[in-house]
Amino acid sequence: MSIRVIQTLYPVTFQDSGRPGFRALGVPHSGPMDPLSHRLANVLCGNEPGAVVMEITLHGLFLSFEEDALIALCGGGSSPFLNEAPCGCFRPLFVSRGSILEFKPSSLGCRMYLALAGGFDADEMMGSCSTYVAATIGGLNGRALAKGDQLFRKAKPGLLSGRIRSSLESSSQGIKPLLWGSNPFPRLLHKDVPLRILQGPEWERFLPSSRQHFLSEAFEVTDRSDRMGYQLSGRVLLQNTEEEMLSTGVSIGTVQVTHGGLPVILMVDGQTTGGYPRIAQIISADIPQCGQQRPGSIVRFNLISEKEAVSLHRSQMQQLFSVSQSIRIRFGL
Amino acid sequence: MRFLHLWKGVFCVVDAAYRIYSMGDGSITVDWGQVPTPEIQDLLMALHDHLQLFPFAGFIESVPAYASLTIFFDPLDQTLFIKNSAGVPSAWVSAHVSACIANLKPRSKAEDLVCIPVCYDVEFGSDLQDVSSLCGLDLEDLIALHTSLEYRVYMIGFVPGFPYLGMTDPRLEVPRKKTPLMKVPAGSVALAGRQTGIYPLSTPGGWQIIGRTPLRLFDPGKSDPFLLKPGMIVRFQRIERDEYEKLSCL
Repeated sequence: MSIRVIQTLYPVTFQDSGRPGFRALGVPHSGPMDPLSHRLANVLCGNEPGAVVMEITLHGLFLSFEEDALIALCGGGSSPFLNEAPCGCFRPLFVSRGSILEFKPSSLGCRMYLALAGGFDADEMMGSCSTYVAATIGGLNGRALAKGDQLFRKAKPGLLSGRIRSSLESSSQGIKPLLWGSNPFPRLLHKDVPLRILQGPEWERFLPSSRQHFLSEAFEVTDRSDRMGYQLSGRVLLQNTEEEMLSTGVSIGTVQVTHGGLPVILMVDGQTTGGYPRIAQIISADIPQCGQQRPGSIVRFNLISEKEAVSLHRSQMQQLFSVSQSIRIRFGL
Repeated sequence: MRFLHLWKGVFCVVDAAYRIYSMGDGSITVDWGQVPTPEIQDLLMALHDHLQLFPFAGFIESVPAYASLTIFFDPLDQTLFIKNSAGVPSAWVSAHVSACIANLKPRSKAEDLVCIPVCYDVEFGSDLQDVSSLCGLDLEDLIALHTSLEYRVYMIGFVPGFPYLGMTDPRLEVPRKKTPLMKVPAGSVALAGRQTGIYPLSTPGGWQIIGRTPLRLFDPGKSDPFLLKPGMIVRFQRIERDEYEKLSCL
């Protein structure tokens, strides 16, 4: 079983659910920028939710399949075309040997997750296969995929993957669109949906007018944005003191304000400690949506309560679980 | 908890008061203020150790910094939810952590001392001349001052294995560079403020570079990839270029 990389344009890396447990030693969590699409892609092709997938940034990737395969695509940033016909996302897909999968430009989202039944074979380092390019660990030799790379399946697809595959092969239209093909999390790829936040530890350090601007105005994701974090541009935010702060632990979704007064959102490969004032923290449930922002995207922030944040996170996980359960039930497992 | 400690040249009794704040829905930070001291670090490392040994339901990991410990947890953990169905998970975690601190003994074991060989060749220490003129010290005095003290690893951050070591002799205090270097070679030993640090990987960086060590601070192939951990004590030892070359072949 192998897939060949014919061409890449933007970073494409292998990611599993991340590398927790080493933040105390400076190692970021890594893993998918949009953990919801990552899990959903795995669930749709019968994998464990945390299996290794390909994270595809924007468009320009061409893959050639040298064997038959069952895959699932979830996320945004590109429109997938199988042998020059649009093949759609948020559904399992049977790809026959010799097929070419191409990712064409799309205006929604930033990252597509390609799950392969059986998972991708990748280097495991410190308990995870997630690629962390800055330290050359995980994935394929610790780097982004490149032209000519040959990719292998980790394990034989399981029983569930087998049943999903037979159902796709037996019908030219695929199985009835019971749940295939529609994104169960529409917020993920919707433009103009605010990122929900909680007040950061240094919220009070900002002038009341700047707090107001932060919540009412739009910020643009600049091109200085990657898996480490997003540099935003927009209204400069002012503080009531210039006192330097000691560095403290920071997290995925921490919004820091740097010396120039502009916010930076820390993402999955971001540093583990920071000394800039933290105006806000993006709630866990909106990290996936944040991971789908691209340079040029407009973001707004909406303040909610911690209680709401936890309940939004819980209902999101319940929804993912119910998708996974309904697939199992549909295929008699 | 009260400590006797040296601050600005006088002994005084300091109350190790802390506050706990939440950072989002999945982490809290225990913050001992803006003055890092060995005593505070012994206490926060004791809490760090305690949480590894006796993790609460939903505990993921904790991150020591200069005078704080950030604790990550899964807010959707079932047991955490059952114990805490009335309020938010961070409130329960904060209460639990406060109770732990009340019963905590500061870390008291003798800290590991790690000796780090450094070659202060001008070819390696690309900012040696600048630091020398900023501090008004000649190269020999500068190197003697840097190697004269034992430093504590206050924090590991920035990139895997990067140690924030403190405090340097006040005569070595230098600002960060105005324009960071795009590529600081791995092993570079550098100064910033009253801190000294070592770049484990070749990364961008804004600290003033004064030398290079042949040791690998982060070696992902090893069973324990990290040479240094928070709480360890570091001493720099001056080596010449030929010894550097010899050691880097190991």
